[in-house]
Amino acid sequence: MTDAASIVLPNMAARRVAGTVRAIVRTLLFVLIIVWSAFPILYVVLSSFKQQKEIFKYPPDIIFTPTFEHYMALATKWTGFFPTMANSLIVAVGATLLACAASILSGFVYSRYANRFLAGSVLYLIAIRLLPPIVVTLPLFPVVDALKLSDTHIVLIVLYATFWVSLCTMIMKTFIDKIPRTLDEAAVVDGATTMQTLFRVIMPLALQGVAACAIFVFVFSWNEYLFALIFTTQHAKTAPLIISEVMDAVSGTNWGVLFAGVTVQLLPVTLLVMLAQRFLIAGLTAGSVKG
Amino acid sequence: MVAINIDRFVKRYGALEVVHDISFDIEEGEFLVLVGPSGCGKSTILRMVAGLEEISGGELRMQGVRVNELSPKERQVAMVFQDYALYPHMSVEQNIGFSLELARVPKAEREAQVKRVADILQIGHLLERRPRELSGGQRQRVAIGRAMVRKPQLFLFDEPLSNLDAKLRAEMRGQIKRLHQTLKTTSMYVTHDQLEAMTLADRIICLFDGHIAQMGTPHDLFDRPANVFVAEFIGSPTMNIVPITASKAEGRTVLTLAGGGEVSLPDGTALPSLTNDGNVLAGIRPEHLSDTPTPGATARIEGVIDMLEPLGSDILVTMQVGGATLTARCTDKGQFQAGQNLTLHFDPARLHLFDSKTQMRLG
Amino acid sequence: MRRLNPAAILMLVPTHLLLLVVIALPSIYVFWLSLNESTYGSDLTFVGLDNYVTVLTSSYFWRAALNTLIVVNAVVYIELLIAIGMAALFLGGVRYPKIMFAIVLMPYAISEVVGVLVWKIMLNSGSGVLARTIESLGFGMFNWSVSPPLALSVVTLISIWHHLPFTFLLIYAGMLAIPKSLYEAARIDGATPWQEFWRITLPLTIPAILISLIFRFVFAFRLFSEVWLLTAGGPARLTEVLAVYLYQSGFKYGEFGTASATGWLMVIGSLGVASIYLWAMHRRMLKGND
Ligand SMILES: Nc1ncnc2c1ncn2[C@@H]1O[C@H](COP(=O)(O)OP(=O)(O)OP(=O)(O)O)[C@@H](O)[C@H]1O
Ligand SMILES: [Mg+2]
Repeated sequence: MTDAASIVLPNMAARRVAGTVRAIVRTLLFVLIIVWSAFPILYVVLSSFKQQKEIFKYPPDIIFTPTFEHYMALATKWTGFFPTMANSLIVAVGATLLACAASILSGFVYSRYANRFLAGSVLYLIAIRLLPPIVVTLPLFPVVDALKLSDTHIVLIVLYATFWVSLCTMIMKTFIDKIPRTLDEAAVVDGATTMQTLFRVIMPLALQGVAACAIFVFVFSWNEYLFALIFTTQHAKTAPLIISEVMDAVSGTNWGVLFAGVTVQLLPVTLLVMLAQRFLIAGLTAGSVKG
Repeated sequence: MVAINIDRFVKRYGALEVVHDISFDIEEGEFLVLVGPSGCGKSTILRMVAGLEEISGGELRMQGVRVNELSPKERQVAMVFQDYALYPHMSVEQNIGFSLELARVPKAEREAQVKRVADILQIGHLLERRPRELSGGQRQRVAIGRAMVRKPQLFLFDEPLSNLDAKLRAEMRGQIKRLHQTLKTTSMYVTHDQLEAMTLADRIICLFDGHIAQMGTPHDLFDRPANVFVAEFIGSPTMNIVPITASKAEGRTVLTLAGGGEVSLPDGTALPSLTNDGNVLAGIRPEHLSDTPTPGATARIEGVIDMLEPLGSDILVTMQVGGATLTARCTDKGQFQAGQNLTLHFDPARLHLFDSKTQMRLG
Repeated sequence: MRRLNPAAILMLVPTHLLLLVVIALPSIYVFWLSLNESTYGSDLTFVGLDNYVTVLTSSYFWRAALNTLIVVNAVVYIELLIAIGMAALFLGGVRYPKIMFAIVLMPYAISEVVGVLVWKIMLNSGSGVLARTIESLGFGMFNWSVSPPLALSVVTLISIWHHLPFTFLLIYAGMLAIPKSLYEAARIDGATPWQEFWRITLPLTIPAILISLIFRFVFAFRLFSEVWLLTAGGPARLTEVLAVYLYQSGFKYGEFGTASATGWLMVIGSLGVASIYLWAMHRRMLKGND
């Protein structure tokens, strides 16, 4: 036993100090992350409950008596706002349904069937996501106009769904790949048609993937700006568009109302994203693994 | 009456042919077992019969009608999968009743059918559970129940017991056997476990590399293996097979082992006509070798004990004879010791001889 | 694996029809447009590569290209560094993980419009809470609206704020996938936490890093809203990026030909960037990294 190194006791006190320092630094970093992520959003939300004169007070009050006056004003004075929220909802729900329906079907085929065309078109699905979508506005603009679809919900629904359908197909494929093939075979032996297999056996087991796709498309469609700017003018105008218009034209006393409107616009999706984080993370990893 | 004809089946994956021109029939009510080592094409044949795999060549007939183009449902087959393939999001009741639901059987009747099957399988108390809340054996029963409820023309089993531990496997084997005795549904069963094949089968088909090595009753395969492959595959422990030279000296037959050592045969032993100048393979099962002379065991062979593997009441004795190794299954009375000389006795009628080139049985 | 049958082909139709009609065919048509002169209500006249000459000799285009290059690189690399640091911090253990993730994800849920609005107000020189903080620290007036470099910095900041959750999650998931046993082995071998990070965590996260780089480069290249809403390309078109340049020439000046040429140049740039990284990934795979 003579040639084995003997154990030297380390300086325990120094080690404890180092540990404490580490813990403090880590906590500070976490606080920094919280402030960075949440502060801008809390700032708007809190401001929407402040008196007009308090909004731009410096330094800002953290504790104050909330007022709902801006929300009242939102309903009465800024009448254009709620119709655009309705448009946003219609467009987001429509795009989500279309993209999910299409990608469930195609994701199933990509997962369960094999041939050369399918293998090749996977590359096409990836490549098509690399194109900057703004490019397609130029030829689509006159076509949409000629079809009298300009300023309708349909245009935005179709556009938004298309931007996501390739990624969602890959997400669905990844999720369906994880379901054992023998389940399909059992269903076929049980007498199920392809559609019955998909909707009775596969879909219930791939709901996580559907949820992930739905969140991606919904959040994107709810918030999108560029295509709404180009393809809508009046009837189908979405909430981000009207917020951007008011933002440029806002005068002294209306900041509170704008903040109230913004709060109404951002709160539902923020809560959705926070609550559905599990699906989002699962979907993100599924979508990225397969390119 | 013949229920199923499998007529010159061929399966190709691209250029690779994995099932080569296989034909056999299944009788009405028969329990047919396909057995063979991993990768020999058992599942492929089963799945071609099920309708899950395209038939590349040949014809499948059920009750005399060609069914190659029919779906599994139309063929009225039911199948038990190796991994059970239970639907994880459905209760046991829904799992078993799924096929009836798809066939639009009214709810009341469906429930009655599920109940009937569940009672036979003794899983009536589990109907509300999900598959993940069941033990392996219970899942197995549900999988069988799902197949039974359809009242199929043909039951297909793809290694249904291979995911169970040894004890449960024996128990489920018994249950499948009893079930077949009551239901008498024509069945085709795939396994790589020769013991399962022996205990369950009315008839066994032993497959080797996409060909039929032998087809027959369990007794046929055990007592008269058609070739070295079947001889080694069926039976446990494996049959001893050693190269020997047979010659006639002074009217007596003498068997010489390749590395020296002789087998003493009694006078007048009749051997089948030998090939390759008497250079053949001789086989004898370990349980047919005995350390004590018994009536009929008139042949002898001598060697040195190499290794002992006690099994409880029996013991496996491995003996070196010249260059060859022989294993015998003997009753263990503590009489053996490694290094000892030993004489083993056997009945010459139990000796199997195979052509050393073609590996086929002689006589 | 089943052979493709008519039913399966039918199931592919919705996805491929959408992609074909909305993206593939228009992208090809844009190429034809880029070889023609066209504006509202006029027929196409074939002009060959004239539009490309116009674009490539326009100083505004080069300014936009340069701005895009700077902002995209700044966004992608700064975001990546922060994301790696954050992921490593989270990997070391996090209390209340659900709540922390929820908070980190918040910016992802916010519209670009709202993001710009909030940051614009907070950074508004003389009145915004952040601008006044900066000014009170003695850095002088934070007047980004007249300074293109400052304005582009704000664009970079907002863009990073928006997309950090995305990059963070990708990289964190990559780090999480590293088997715990590797760390245990390293600890037995006497590695310090610092060495563990450099010798195990980082090398094994490289695939995830490459993937998020591709994603982010491709997405950052599309940068439009932040710039358009913050400066509209001003002052004097000095803060334009490529997408804004395209939008201006197409929808403000009605020059569809030059806008299309810009579009194709963007496509080529985007594919170029992506292919470099795809190539790097491919090489890693060839080296037998699993
Ligand atoms: N999709 C496929 N493509 C190519 N070859 C295949 C495919 N499926 C099976 N094979 C090959 O066909 C042969 C037979 O496979 P099969 O699954 O029938 O074997 P098995 O006898 O059931 O084996 P096991 O006992 O391992 O289940 C194997 O050599 C296998 O590699
Ligand atoms: Mg098999």
